[in-house]
Amino acid sequence: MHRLLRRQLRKHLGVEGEVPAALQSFVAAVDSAYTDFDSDRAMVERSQELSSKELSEAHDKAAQAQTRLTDALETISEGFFLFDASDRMVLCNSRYRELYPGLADLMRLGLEFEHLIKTVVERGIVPDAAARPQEWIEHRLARHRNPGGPFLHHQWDGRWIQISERKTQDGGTVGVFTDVTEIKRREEELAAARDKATEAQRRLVDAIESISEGFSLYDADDRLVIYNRRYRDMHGTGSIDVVKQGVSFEAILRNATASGEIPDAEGRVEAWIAERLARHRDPKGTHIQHRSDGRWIQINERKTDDGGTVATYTDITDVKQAEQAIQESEQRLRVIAEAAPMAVAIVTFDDGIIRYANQRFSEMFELEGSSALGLQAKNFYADPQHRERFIDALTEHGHVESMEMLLKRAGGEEFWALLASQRVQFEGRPAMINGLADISDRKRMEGELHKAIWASEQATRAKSNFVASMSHELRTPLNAIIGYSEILFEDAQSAGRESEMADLRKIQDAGKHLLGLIDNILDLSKIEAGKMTLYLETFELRPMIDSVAATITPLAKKNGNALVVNCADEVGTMHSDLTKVRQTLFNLLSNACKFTRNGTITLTVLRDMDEVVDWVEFQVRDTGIGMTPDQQAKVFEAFTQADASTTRAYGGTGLGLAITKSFCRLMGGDVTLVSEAGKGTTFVVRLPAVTRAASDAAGLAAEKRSERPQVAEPEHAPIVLVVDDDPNARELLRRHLQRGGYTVRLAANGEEAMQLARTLRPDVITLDALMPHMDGWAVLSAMKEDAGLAEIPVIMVTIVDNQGIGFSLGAADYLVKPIDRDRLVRAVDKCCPRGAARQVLIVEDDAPTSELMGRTLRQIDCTVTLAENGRVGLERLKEALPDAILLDLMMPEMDGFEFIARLRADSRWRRIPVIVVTAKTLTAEDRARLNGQVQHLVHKGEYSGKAVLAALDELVPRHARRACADRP
Amino acid sequence: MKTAQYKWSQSDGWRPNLPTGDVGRQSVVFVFGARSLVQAGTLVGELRDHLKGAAMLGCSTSGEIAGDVVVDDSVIATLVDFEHTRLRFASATIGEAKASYDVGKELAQQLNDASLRHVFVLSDGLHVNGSDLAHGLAGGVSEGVSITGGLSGDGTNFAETWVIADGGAGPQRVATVGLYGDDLRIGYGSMGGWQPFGPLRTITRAEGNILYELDGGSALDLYKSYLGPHADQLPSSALLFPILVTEAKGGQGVVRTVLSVDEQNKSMTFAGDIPQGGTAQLMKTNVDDLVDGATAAAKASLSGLGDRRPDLAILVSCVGRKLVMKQRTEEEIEAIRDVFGRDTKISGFYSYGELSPFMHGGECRLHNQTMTITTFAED
Repeated sequence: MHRLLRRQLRKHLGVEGEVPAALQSFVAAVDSAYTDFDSDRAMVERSQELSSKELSEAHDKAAQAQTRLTDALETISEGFFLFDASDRMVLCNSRYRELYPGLADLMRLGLEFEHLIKTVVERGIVPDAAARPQEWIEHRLARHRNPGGPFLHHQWDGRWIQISERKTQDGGTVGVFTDVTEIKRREEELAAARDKATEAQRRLVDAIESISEGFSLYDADDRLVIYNRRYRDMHGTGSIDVVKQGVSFEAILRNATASGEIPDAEGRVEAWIAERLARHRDPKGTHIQHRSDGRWIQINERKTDDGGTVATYTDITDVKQAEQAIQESEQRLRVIAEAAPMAVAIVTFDDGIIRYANQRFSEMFELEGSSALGLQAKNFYADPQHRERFIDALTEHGHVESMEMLLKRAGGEEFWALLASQRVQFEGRPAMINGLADISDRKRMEGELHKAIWASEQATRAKSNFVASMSHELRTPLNAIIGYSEILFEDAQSAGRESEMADLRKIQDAGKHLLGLIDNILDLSKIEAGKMTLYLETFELRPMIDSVAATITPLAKKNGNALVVNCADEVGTMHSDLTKVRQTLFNLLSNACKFTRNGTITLTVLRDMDEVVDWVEFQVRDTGIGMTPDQQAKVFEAFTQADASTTRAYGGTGLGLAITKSFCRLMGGDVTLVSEAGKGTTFVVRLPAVTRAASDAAGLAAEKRSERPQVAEPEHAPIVLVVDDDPNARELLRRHLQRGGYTVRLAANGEEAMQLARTLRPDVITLDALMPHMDGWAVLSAMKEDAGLAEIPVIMVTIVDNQGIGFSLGAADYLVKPIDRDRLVRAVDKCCPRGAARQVLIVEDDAPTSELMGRTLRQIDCTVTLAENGRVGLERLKEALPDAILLDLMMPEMDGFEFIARLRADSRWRRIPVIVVTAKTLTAEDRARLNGQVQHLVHKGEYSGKAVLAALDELVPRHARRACADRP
Repeated sequence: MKTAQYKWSQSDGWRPNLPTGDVGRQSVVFVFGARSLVQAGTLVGELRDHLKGAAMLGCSTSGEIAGDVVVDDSVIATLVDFEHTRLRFASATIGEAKASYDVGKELAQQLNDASLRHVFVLSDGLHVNGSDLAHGLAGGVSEGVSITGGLSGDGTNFAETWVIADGGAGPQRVATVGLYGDDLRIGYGSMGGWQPFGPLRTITRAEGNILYELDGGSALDLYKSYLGPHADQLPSSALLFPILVTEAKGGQGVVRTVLSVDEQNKSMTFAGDIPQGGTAQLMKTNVDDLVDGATAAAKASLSGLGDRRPDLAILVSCVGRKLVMKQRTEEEIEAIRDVFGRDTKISGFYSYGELSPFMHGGECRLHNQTMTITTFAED
């Protein structure tokens, strides 16, 4: 029984085992039906299985066919795709995938064509689509659905793809994709090559057109093939229109001769044509053709390989004309030379023989007629060296503009001539044309002039020296006159003797005026003698201006004037000569005060940077009497005031402005003025913010150029030991000193210097401050400690500003005689403040001066000790230590310089402030001497040979007289 | 190992009556019942009350198996009291299918230790990616630990599936029991009985467990053409024609059935992953083939037990088989009974997916359309 029936019987009827008899036939029928159904189903499944198997086989075959198709599609070099009727991808080959690597992720069965095309646009695979993407997509889809002929896509990577689509029978679409980039490229290359060929042809035509000659090419049949415009233009009106491609050479000739363009052919036309044709067919180099319009044409014909004739035509009319011109100009030259006021001769180079000489030449050398021709030129030189120098110069430069030389006339008389010469070609040979002028008279006059100038210079120098020494002599008595009149005035004042006071004041004023005059004369004489030097230092402008203003204020008030100062606090610093800047401003301001009453004096300070120089500008404006243009013109001259009458009205020496101008120029600037009579005057001083001392290097270079023979070292000359690590500096000093008559020894470092100093015992040592290992200061200390060397004077040569060091060792201040009472008091106050007991030592040989100072100091509660020279001064120091010392420099027995050196050598006295009292304005050298134990401090940047010599001349007589004894 | 089985039906109530009093400490009640009964909770509550001390593990089904009978609209409770084997339970809620792998691994790691022998798992049948879950579980246990189980069913409704665990019953849950100890013997076998037919088709578009296109055409359209008039009853009618899925690189194919269809996207969602680029082939079967399959699965499940007869066999059979066999469904159970004999306690359910290694071992995989048997014995 069927299993299902048995279970159903059990489940639904509770029948287990035997089926009840009543149901047996029914159950048998159902059982049969179940079994039959199973059997039928088995049959159905069987047949289904078989069909499935067959289907599977058919499928396999189809798959196989598809594989073959796919394989076949893979082998073709074109890309291939197939989309079905609903535009889904059925297949594509790998070549197609390769053509579109950017779409690799999309490539699968079922891909919608529209999606594919949209992605192509999105990813920029066909850049042409970017402009109007939507339109492009629609166009592409339309083409896909209804394909036409093949079309091209230019891909983003530069490739060109040719696409060919076709509908299949079932409504699908096949596409074939061919990479035609290479074909496209070749097409482009071909087009480019065509362009190039066209371009080359055009260039050839351009080239032929652009050559300066006429050009023609006739073929083997003598027909014109190529020609340029110049060739055509060469022809006259009768033949020019015939010239065109294809015309025969003979036809052109016949037209030209017929219209008379060829003068040579006149009267023999046929013969000329025959000759010309023969030459054309068998060319023999160049020939020249004369045309009736006056032109000369040089024709150069040549056969070409293919039997044609190529020719160039050069217009040589200019050359022909130039030849003619040369002939004419030579003739003219001869005429001119004959007429010239100078002697002219042409001499051929190789043999030195005169080939031409004018009349004036014969006269100059006292020759008869034209007998100069054929003579040797060298016979006319008085000095063979002169001739040599001239020939050298001519050879080197090709010409000599003017050279003075000593020549000789035929009769043997020598004379000076000025020679000018030029190399030329004479009759095809290298030659020179010489022009000569007799300058004997001028030479004589020059000699006389030189003598006169020398004498004048001597006189000026003598005058300056005289004035300088006289001034010194004048100042000393003035000191007494002013000082004592001052004291007497004070006495009279305290005693109330009015009448005496007025007289004493007059004495005092007259003395001061005379002193001002002398100072100015001294300055002026220094300037004239070229001895005025600059003491350069860096200083703040503002404090200087304040101090000047403070000083000038009382003077301004005297005439009821207001002083206005316009100066910025941050106006900065200046590197210049402070004293001279101050003096310049004093001069201008005191002038302004003098010539202005109840007005305003304005001092304005500006900085002005131009392209090169940082300028400091001082303007002094007054509202005074002003000047006329005439007065303005003379105001800076010495001993001049605007009007002689002003001297009487306003006083003054008339030297101030001349000195001011000289100072300004010395400092690299100038002073100018703007003025109007009756309205006031403005003086403008422009000075460089940094003044540079005149470089000595230029001087050295100049000496080198002049190549003066070296001065031999004289026997027994004083010995100078030069210590410097820089060989150039050593050499420079050596040369200066040797010329000055010294024996010079050199040391390159401190150790060597010490050794040489001990063995040589030089008279003077110059010492560089900055050296490796042992610097100048160390050497100096070592020498001062060595008993054998301590006395040898040392000149420090340095580029370092050692004023700092110097100041700690040296003078605290200095005073100039005659002593200004106020300054003296201020100087002492500065050294030792008031309040405590103050003791001052005055070392001074001039009794009136020391007495005068003593009285003044006692008035301000100082205890005063006197010493008449340095030696006595030292004695006094041993007795009691003063708080300050007033020191004169020039004294017998022991002068101020030596005194201060001793003072500084002793540790007990080193700190005592010293105020120098001197009858002369201190020079930079003087200041340096006072600034320490060194005798001189010379700045390398500013020293000159003269300065060093001057320093030595001052030193050596004092310290090395023994060695100098035999000096001339 | 002691076993007792209690059946509840509308007509008879519990048969036999539920006992009272404590049961052994290492005992578990496997509960399989209709989704409406499980969801109602009354019967599960009664089981908890009566079988105190026993842990509970179960799910909703598409048909319950007890002995050699297949019933619907009932609850089958099988109490298993292990003599030597120790038990540990772990369960979790699964938020979305994507988390399947992580949940599987997490649960397995909770259970894993050196003495773990076997993991039996019951999972939600609709919101879980069974392939990922199996893969996750396998990744969380030591080598040599076997994993079997199934995805809960919901008749042929495909609406909601429930899982019962100690933490409570509910949808979107996964519950596991780990079995420990050297005295435990486990066998398993899984076999379908389906034959592929028709052309081999290329999976041209698929994402995860969603299939869109076969051979460049709509998969759903193709499928419907096979179902003919049955297409109206999708997705349940799709169970009649599962597909055999093979990966592009080859290897053993797996049978996959449709869980749901999306008319909008023309897509079909499967219980496991569909590999794009692989191949798919429709399958068919008949009652005899399915019964032969069940027999083969039962024989295979014995091999793990050595010379022992199983004390307990849990059968997880696909709902698709039941749809094909209809009144003759019990024939496959009878065939299994014939293999095991009368002494083996048989329980189980018709499912939305089976979990087991292939017949020859290897990692636990998701199967469809199979009879999957796990056998238990204690030395």
